[in-house]
Amino acid sequence: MWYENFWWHLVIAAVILIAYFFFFIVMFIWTERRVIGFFQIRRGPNRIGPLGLFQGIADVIKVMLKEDIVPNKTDKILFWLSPLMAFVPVMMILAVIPFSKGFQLVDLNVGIIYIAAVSSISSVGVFLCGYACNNKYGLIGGMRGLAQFISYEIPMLLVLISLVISSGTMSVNGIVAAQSLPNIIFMPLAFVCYFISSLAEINRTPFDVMECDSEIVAGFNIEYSGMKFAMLYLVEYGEAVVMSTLVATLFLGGYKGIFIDGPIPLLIKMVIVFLFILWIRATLPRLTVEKSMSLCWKFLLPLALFNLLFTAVRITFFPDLAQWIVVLVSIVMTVLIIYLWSGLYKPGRELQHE
Amino acid sequence: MSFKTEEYVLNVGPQHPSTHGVFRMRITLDGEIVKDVEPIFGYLHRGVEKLMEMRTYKQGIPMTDRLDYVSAINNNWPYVMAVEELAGIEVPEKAEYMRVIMAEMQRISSHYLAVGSQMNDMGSFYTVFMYMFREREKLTDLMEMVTGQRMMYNYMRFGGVSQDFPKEFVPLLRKFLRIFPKYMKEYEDLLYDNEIYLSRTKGVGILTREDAINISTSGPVLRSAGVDFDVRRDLPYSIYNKFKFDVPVGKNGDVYDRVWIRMEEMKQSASIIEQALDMMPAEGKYQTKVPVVLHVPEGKTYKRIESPRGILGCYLESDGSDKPYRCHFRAPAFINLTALKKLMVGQTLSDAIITFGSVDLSMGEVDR
Amino acid sequence: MRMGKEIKMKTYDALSKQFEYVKTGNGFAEIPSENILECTEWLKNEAGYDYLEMITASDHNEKFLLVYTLINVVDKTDIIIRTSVPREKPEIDSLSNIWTGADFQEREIFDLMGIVFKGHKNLKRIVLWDGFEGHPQRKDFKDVI
Repeated sequence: MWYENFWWHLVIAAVILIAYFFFFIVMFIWTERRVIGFFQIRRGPNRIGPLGLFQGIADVIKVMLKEDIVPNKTDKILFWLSPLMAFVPVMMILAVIPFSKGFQLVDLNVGIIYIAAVSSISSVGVFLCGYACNNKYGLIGGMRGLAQFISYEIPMLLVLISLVISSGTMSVNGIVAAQSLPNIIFMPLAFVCYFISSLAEINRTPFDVMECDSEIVAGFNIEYSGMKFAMLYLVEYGEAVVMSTLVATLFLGGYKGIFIDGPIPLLIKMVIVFLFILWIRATLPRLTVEKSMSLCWKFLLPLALFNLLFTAVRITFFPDLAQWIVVLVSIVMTVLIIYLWSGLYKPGRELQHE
Repeated sequence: MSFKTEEYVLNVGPQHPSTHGVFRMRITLDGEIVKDVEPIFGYLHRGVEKLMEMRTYKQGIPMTDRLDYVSAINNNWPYVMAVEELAGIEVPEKAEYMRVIMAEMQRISSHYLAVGSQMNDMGSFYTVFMYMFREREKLTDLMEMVTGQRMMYNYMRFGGVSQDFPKEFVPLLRKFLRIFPKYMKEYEDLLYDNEIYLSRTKGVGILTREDAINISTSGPVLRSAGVDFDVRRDLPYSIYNKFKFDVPVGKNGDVYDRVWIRMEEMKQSASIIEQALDMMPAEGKYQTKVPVVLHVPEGKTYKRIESPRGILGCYLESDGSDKPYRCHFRAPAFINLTALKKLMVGQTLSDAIITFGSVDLSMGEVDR
Repeated sequence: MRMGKEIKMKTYDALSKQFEYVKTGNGFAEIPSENILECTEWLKNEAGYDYLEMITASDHNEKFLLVYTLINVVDKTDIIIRTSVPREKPEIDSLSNIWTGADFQEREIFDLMGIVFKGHKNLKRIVLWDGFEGHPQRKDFKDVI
């Protein structure tokens, strides 16, 4: 029949996703500046539109209209290609996230592997941005960021594996459907590890060594201007949007709300996660590269391994335990482990100087 | 198997968000570790010392304001004291108290800026900076009430100060001093328990006692190394021998100690202001009469004070005319800069930038 | 304060007893320029004046007058030493090998006044740019503008 090859619904869904992506980036630009302004006892943007709501649009338009300067001795192909390589994979993660029951662009049955694979391409793109600009500051920024990216993927993947074990399926839709109560109640340790690793993946304070603007003056995006800088600027907020959506989907219950199911509970949860990320940015100073490496390898990795072990033991040997026992044991164990392990691990000076 | 590594030179150029002014460093790096530092400055050199030789004594007072523009009132003081000693001018007691009050207010202001920009260098994205500027704005408003200026005050004159305190000033200052301890407690709670802050400042940028004395550092940098020397208490000038205050001395000589010393010094300054407000005579002249064009008898003298950055001194030579023959300023930031090589070599780049911020330079003083 | 003055007087007396070329009076000690190194080393090692506070120079037409101030941080006193170098041959020993704090101050005096410090490892212009000609702080410096 004529409707068996119907593919228009895919195109419309893709357009809606891209619109969602860009709309929330613009909203988050405004939210970040206004909320951090309130943290710092000043008002944020309040000129453009009522309450300054159109600040994001103004920012994007300004950056797009600026002159695109290409320095002389750079590798022209890489210089042109790397912002694209950093930007496009970020959008692709949204393809597997369910916004409502059955409302999803593609229902892959290996959704978790797809997410892990695609998010790594963006990190290579960002490093190439730092490399291609023929500038020592960019190179330092790129190298530091790449080291951080690669390291923090390991606890993240271990947590995702434990999620797969606990939900029994690799498709994201299945994980959301298996959450009668949000996963954060059953696996708080996994949530802590995943949240910290994701903060490092998206280069947000306290892990923003890649673009720390007090030491290496804008790091990897030091030579970019015009449309390329717009893309890198959007990458930062886009990754925040995608990561908040992922955390809300995997751990906070996705589209399942208290009274109604649908996209509105997901959006509310995503905004709450983003506000939490902002709170951390406004308060904490940043960690140096050695300390964030040591935080990953010495603190998060053992925690993630322990979480994997605990989840595997729970699912294999006690599959029918009552829910409240599981919740109680999980919370007690999480608090104990974090307390004991952080007593052993002290962020001291990691490099020995003679 | 060993790697072949190369050292590269990074130019932390004159325009950089964290060099606190126009200052250039050429850092030789091996990976992330600093091997050599070469400071290059002179971008703000205006020839103040030569210019003062072509102006009368009174016209030289605004020129001293522009030396250390962050704490401007303190710069007038050694010059004015030197001229008063050579010309034999007496300063009335009320004027001395007014000078002390303004100088200590300026010290609190300057330390707020120093600690705020230090936290900014650590990446806390202006939050602590904004909070500290909230208090600095109140102090600047108070000083504007007295002198009419927000930055280059031009307040001290030979034989006293230029204007009396208006009658709203003292109650407002007392109100500020009443809420000041609450703000200090807020900062201490936020800073001293923060794990990231502790790990970034403890054991970083250590200066030993022998090095500190050999390099002639002064101010918080010297006191953090364990040397108990403060000009206000040990070689007292003006009426500082009437006040009771403690001098905080650090133990390890690292960045944590320097920030701690600045915070404690702010509290001591507040207590000095309170004592001065209580002891200040209500009546009295604020300036002795001095001719507009002052002829200073021949002589040479050297006077020093304790500015927020260290020992600020003025060496004055006069030959009997109405213009100074030679006026030289011993700038504390210029001499503390010599310690950079010792402090920064052997650290990583991030730690080196924080150490540089803790020395607290002000380029107007370095270049003069 | 009184104790400080007594220690200061004792130091001046000891200094003039140690080296016979020292002339004291009016709160400073005057020594010939060849003996500056010997004198300051004695003050640093024997008398405890190990903090060099300031070095200055000024232009009195036939000679340059140099002023050194030293502080004793333990006894809390300071002394002032003066010397002079002739204008035709403005050279003096550098103190930067004993005190690192003298490094930048001597470079500044070389830059602006033109006095050469022998033994200084890195004597080049510090505040003015490298191709500048002349020494601005001298009394006979005529600016081109």
